[in-house]
Amino acid sequence: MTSIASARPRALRRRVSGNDKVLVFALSGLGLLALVVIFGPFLWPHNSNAVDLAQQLSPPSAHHPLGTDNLGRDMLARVMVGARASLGAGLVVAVAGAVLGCVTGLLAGALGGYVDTVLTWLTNSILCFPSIMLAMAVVMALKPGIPAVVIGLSIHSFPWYMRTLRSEVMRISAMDFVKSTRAIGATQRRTLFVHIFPHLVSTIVLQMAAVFGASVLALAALGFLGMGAQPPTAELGSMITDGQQFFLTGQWWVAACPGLVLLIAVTLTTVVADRTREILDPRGEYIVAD
Amino acid sequence: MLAIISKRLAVGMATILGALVFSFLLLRKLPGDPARLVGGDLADATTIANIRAGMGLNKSLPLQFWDYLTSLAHGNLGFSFSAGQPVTDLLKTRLPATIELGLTGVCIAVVSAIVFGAVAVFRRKRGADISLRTTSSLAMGSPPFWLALVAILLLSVKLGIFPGPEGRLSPGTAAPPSFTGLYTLDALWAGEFGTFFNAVWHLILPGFTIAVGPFAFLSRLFRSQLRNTVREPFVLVARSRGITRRAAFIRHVVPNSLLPLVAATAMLLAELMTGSVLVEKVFGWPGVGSLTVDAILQKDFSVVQGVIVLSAFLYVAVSVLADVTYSTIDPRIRVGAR
Repeated sequence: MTSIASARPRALRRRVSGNDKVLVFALSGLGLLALVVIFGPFLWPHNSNAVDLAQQLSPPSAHHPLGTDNLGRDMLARVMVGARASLGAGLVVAVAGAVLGCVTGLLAGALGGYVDTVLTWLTNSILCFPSIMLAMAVVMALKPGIPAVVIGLSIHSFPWYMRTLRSEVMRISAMDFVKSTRAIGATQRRTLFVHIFPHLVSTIVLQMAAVFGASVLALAALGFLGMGAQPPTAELGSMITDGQQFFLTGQWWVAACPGLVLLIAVTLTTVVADRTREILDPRGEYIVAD
Repeated sequence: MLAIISKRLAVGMATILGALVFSFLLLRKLPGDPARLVGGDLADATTIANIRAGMGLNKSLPLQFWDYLTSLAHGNLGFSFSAGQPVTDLLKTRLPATIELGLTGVCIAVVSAIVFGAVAVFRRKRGADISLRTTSSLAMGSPPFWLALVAILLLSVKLGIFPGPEGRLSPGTAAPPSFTGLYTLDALWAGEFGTFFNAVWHLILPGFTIAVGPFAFLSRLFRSQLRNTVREPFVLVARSRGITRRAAFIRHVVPNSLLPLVAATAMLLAELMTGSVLVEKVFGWPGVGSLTVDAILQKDFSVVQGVIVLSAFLYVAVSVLADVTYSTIDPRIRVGAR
């Protein structure tokens, strides 16, 4: 058991470099998407907020590859900027949740006792709200906009990290190699950060992928309800709302394009996380609960 | 057994208390003045002060929380100023619609997850497994409200197979006499088969849209559970007794893999009651979800708090129930029960 666990980080490096075609495809897809979202708006000649009333609702063409919306704004430019907002905010939620979750999870797992009881109680109380409800309540308490939504979703995401990390810390702490480091005189803090933490990294990254996917969808959902980004800022969810009315009259691209980008981004993330998990844990015992 | 139940109940109560404190503080710390919202922009200072006193807002926070708890214990969730009626009544009229839709969604998700998962694992690598994984990855990545829009466009507007976003029944169709509040059951009970089929017809599209996310999650869970069970020694024993692979799979592997689905499904049920917010909004479904969205846009905080408390309560109740069911079915869990 001990040797298997210690060999894990190395096994990851060895096996990811192998030839899993699906993983390579999904990873390059995500990379391409990231490049387009980060650099695209600088290279594409159209501005995402430039109104051109002569070009209202024109279908996809060479000049506007994804068509234009009801104000004649170029959809490709808007989708790129909107994806930047949506995916960026999702990333912030994943990282913020991971940081909060790491701190609380390590504390609860390493200290146990009252700290563990109180933290578990607190996170259970948070988890019994559905994530969208909690985020909406935060939006109501603050004001509609991406920051409020990000705060709400981060509050809801950190218990997931905490739960998994807490049990992982407890599981690894009981292993022989941890006991032996303690026996030769390492402090508890050193054991935790130098010996236990490296084994948690893969768990954290996998959980981040799951939280990222779920948050991007939740963010878009709140944007769709008008509680996320405020106009004229482009954001994928609110763009779907804008396109909703034209969907039924035949101008499908206004709502379809942002939805497709969401679908592609989250699906690719799921596939990458899935494949990596299988490589890490070929017996498939590890399931992210989200 | 009794010890486990009472312990789980105590933990559940503590969780609910925590959730109450959390939601209370979150919503009480609103930057806006709730009394101003009730009184309107034109009300003068004394009226606002009276409303504040009437709502108990001039007391200290712990006292307000105590008032809130005592009124909650009497089944009073507060008064909705935007609807002009008690939140409890509001929820009573909206809840059946959400329950009906949620149950439909969960049933579709569970049945399809079990069927697809079993077929995929039984057939191993042959196409079925690959297609299940592709479908579930796609299902996980698709925004439900967007799917709902696409479904309405294709199946209702273009092809006209299903009704558009018009709620639970076609306009002009009278609701069946209320008994459970679920239109399908009520219509069957009253013998109104036309209304029954109309209600079912309206349930299919939103039901499938709601089921997409849970299906992705459940089918993955079931698939990995099946793959673990196949490797268990008792399956080998069954096979060595001469039982065919198919029979061993159906009689031994599938039933023994269903257990984790019980807990997961229970959690989904608790989530779906309020998690269907978006699909309800798109389909014009008069449930709790669309109620909440409207309440938030109107800053009607007693409604939001009521819904939040209800969902927290549901979640805890369902998880306690699931735990108890779990340990009744599988005695092995009792040993390790916390």
